[in-house]
Amino acid sequence: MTLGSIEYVITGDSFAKLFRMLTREGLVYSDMKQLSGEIRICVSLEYCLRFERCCKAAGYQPKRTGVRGILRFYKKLTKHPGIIFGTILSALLIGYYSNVILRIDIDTTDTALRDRITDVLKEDGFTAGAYIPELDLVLEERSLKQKIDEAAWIGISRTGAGISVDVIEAVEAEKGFNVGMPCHLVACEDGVIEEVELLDGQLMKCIGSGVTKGDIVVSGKIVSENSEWSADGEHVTRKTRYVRSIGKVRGSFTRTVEFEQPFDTEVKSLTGTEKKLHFINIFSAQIPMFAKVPDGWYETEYEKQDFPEIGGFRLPFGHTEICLREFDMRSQLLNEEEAFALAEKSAYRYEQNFLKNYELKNKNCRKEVNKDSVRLTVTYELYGEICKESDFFIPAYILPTDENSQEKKCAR
Amino acid sequence: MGKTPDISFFGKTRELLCLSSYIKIVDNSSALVENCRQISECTEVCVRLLTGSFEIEFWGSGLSLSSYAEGCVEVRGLIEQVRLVSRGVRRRDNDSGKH
Repeated sequence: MTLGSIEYVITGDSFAKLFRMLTREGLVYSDMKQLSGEIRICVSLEYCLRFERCCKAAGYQPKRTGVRGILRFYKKLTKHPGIIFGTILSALLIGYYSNVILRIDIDTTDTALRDRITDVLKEDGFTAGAYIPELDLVLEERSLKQKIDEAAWIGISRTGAGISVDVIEAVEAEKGFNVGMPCHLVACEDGVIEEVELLDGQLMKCIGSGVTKGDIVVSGKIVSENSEWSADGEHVTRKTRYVRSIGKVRGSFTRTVEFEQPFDTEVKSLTGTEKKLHFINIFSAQIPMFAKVPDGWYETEYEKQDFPEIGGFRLPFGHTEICLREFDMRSQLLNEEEAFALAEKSAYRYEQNFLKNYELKNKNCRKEVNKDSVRLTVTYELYGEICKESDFFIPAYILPTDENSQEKKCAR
Repeated sequence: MGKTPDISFFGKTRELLCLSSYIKIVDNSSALVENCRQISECTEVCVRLLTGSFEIEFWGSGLSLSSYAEGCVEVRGLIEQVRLVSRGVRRRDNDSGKH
């Protein structure tokens, strides 16, 4: 009696036919009582039509007197259409949001890799609001693996109203194989050696000497000679040893870099329009409270999360507000000052990114104005490491014999 | 009156095929009868049911009948007396006008 039941009253003189019919048809009923000249019976809603039909066939006239169970609730519902509308709307929303991507979780700490994966997903249509049954997760996994070399393995799984991307980053194998191999320390800048800290290898240049790019400063090939005198003359034994040059060679050098800034350039300018996006957070689902993602270019000004707490325990539902500022890329014609200011900004960024490991001793800037652009030539006087390791080739026939003896005879 | 055999062939077969009537009584408030063939009477004081080999009478007050499965009825109310009459004996009594 899941859908409720209906109460009937049947009048008559003899109810033997009714009893036979109930047993024969296997109807589900309850609370059947025979009072003076009538029978009261309660029949389940699923069987009521069959019961009425059978009663009429047997010559009885059943009368409905009331309803029981959930049917009473249905009758009340008809007086409150708002509840029906709300229930249907909720069911539709649940059906819709359970099949739509509301959230994309990417399981990696590498922000660059995360951005790359997000871009590829966006290209393939895996964005917030996409209909999940239309998306092929296996194909997308393959696509991600093909397009992103930094990931060794990528798996996509559906998690409620969203997708979760598991990533195993490709870790480059350590170059341990080369560690024991012999190498030189070769100058990578044109400069003057000022300081040497040598642990292994043979120093080929002294402190104070100048080097150019490619010069061997510390050699991994160490040749030692031993001279012995006998009655036959001088015997010179020459030994060659190959080592890995370990050490630091510091010196002063200059580096010249040119920064060019065209007058006609694109600049990012805020339009002054601000938009706020609201989300409702329920557990891990982030439900957008807007129908359409605004068009245009936006940057995030702030993101505010409001989750209620009870006794220090954060409840799993709350509200997120993201404030966006609209910006536009506009073509702008710069004057000389503005162009040089931008070029100096580029030089500053270069210093921050590439010259951090060196001590900046001096800096000379030369400004040139061309027809379409300005050029800033900066000459840096730097102090720091000027050598780098360089592996060298050892012929195979030398390797088995570490020592090569050479005898030299001298006339007495 | 002939001697009733200890082992009846039909009785054993009915038992093996689960055709016997099973009656489960809970205190004096309800009784469940399985393998009920027919309802003979259903008043507030008397419910009479026919099974394969017995006529079962429930006497009491405020009795009502429910059925949730085929061949299975439940008697509810204040049961005071349960009477089992063999259908064979009932037929003989009816034939000799002793009812």
